[in-house]
Amino acid sequence: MTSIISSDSALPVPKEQKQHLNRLVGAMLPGDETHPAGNASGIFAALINRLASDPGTFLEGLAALQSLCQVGEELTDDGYLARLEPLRERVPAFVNLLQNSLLASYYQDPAVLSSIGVAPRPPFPEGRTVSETDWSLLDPVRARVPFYRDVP
Amino acid sequence: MSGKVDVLVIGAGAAGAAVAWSLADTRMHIVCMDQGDWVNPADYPSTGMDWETRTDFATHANVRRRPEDYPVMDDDSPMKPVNFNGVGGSTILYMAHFPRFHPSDFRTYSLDGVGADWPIDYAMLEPWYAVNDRMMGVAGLAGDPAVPRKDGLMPPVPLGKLGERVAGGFNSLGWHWWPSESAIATTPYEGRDKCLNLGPCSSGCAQGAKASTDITYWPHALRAGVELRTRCRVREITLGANGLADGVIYYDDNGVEHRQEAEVIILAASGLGTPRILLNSTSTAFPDGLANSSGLVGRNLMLHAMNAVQGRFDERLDGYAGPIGCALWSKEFYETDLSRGYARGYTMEIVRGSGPVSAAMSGVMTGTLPWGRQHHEAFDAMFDRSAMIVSVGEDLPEAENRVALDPDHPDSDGVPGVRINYRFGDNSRKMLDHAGARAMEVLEAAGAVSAGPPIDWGVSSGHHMGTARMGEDPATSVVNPWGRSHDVRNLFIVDSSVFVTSGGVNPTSTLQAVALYIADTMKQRLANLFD
Repeated sequence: MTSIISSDSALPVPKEQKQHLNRLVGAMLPGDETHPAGNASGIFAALINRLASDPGTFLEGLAALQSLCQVGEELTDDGYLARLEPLRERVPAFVNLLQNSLLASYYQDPAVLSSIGVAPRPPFPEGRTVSETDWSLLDPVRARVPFYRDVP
Repeated sequence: MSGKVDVLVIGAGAAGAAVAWSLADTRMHIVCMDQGDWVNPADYPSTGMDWETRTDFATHANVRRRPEDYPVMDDDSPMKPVNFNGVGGSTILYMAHFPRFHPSDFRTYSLDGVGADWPIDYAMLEPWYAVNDRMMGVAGLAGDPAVPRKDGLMPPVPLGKLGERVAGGFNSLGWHWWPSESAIATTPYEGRDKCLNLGPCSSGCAQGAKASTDITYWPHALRAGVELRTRCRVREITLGANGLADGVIYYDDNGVEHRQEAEVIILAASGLGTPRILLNSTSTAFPDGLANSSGLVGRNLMLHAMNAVQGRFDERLDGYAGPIGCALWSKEFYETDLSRGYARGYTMEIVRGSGPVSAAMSGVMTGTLPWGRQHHEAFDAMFDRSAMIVSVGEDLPEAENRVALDPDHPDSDGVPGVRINYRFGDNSRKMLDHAGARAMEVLEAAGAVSAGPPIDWGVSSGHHMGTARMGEDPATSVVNPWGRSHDVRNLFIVDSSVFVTSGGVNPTSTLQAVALYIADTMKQRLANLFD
């Protein structure tokens, strides 16, 4: 599991705490044959960078997560996921930060975008395709007489 | 201090750019100051993978927090005013809706006994609407039975699958709809390339297809000799012994205070920024703010009464592609029908869908998108399957709805920010209830599997109107019918502050037409401008 932790921010984060976070986000967004997991290396690295922008909340949240996960046995994915609500009760600001940062990191990742049918690139410069319109749709409206109020 | 200039325009946005360009042919020395700077289109979020999460182009100043922004405190307001400070002003971030007011919008009191009549009318503005359309470049389709005819439009922005689906709903109900008139180049136009359907117009158009005034009016105005000074934040307008405004005090990029003298001062700082400067310009003659003998500066704020209804569909709609705000609109309920229980009316504007990050955040926030093994299936069931109808309702001028100074929240130079006091009036409340119900009907008729409920708290509004209204009577208005202050005869206001009523449409086209009309009137009266 430690091999998928590919990023280290400048923050002094204990390895064990980061491993718990890795498992938690992997449980929040599990991978399958189509979708990358939330703890895939590039996504997790991006997540750490985002979380580190608010170091106080980040470090407090990691400590709270670690304390919830120290149960004397290795937790399953379901076990990690079950700790999300207790974590929210203890450190709501961290869970709010974590959720937003995870979604931003996940849904901006090229592999994830491909998995949901969105071209994995910025909108500019290639743009997007919008189908041309058959304006005969407007025929019923065109048939109406002008109905704005004319003012003498 | 530099030498005295003939004309000083404050604000380089929609109105300031138009008035500066128009006055340039007088060959006067015209200087325009803006507290913001030029924007480099290469910096717009749509050029990067993180386009959905960048905050430096957020529409709300308190989120964006650029040094040139000023705080906008709106905790008690259901509508959240948004803006942009820089060359181009809020046209940098607007969605480029470009409807005109209807003829009836200028006569609400005569026709319906509500609001007040404007001292000018649609016919007087029509030539200036046309000039402005040419300068900005407008896409649309002629022949709309809901509005007076206009021509010279580029082809409309395509509806896409999402728009066609909702248009089908309107058709099945027999209700009006029409492709949005949009200040977006759908063909190459005046050196601008055509729209690429990037999507997020509301964080700037990297393609340059959207008509923001930094790329429309300003190149022409600069070539004609107008001097534009950026990062100059005007703190106050000063009054001379003769009762005329004699200049401004402003801060430069480094926060150093300067003075600039001028023969004529034109405020074009928006419905928030203009009253802010006036209220901050106090003197013995005007202890409650410059040009405020009526006590109306900052009052009668209109933001439009808006609500939003989302519908969810059972197919992908390609909604994240294409100009987010501009697809189609309906004027079915625009004109007054008192049997509905309220006066005046609203436009229903169909907004395209959001990108994946926004969709996911919304899903998690509302509890519809779970974490864990069900996440991906749930995301697939919601992403790119929604359409939104935003109803833009005419809110009537009410004195208690206002912009005031907020000394507790100053900008980076210590100038007070603004506080918004705004409530929906009874007429607006009834109108919103009607609009919300009709929007749900349309979405259901279009085949939405779910629709609503209407949301009317927290909706953003870049429409700031009425805070220095025009009129004939100095007791009930701030400026005269051609934008000159009743109190200070060399002070003019040309932005949407002068609006008497709000109409039920986006205001940019009208505020620019008003600015051009005032500029033309000034030019015709140059010999006796202060009489």
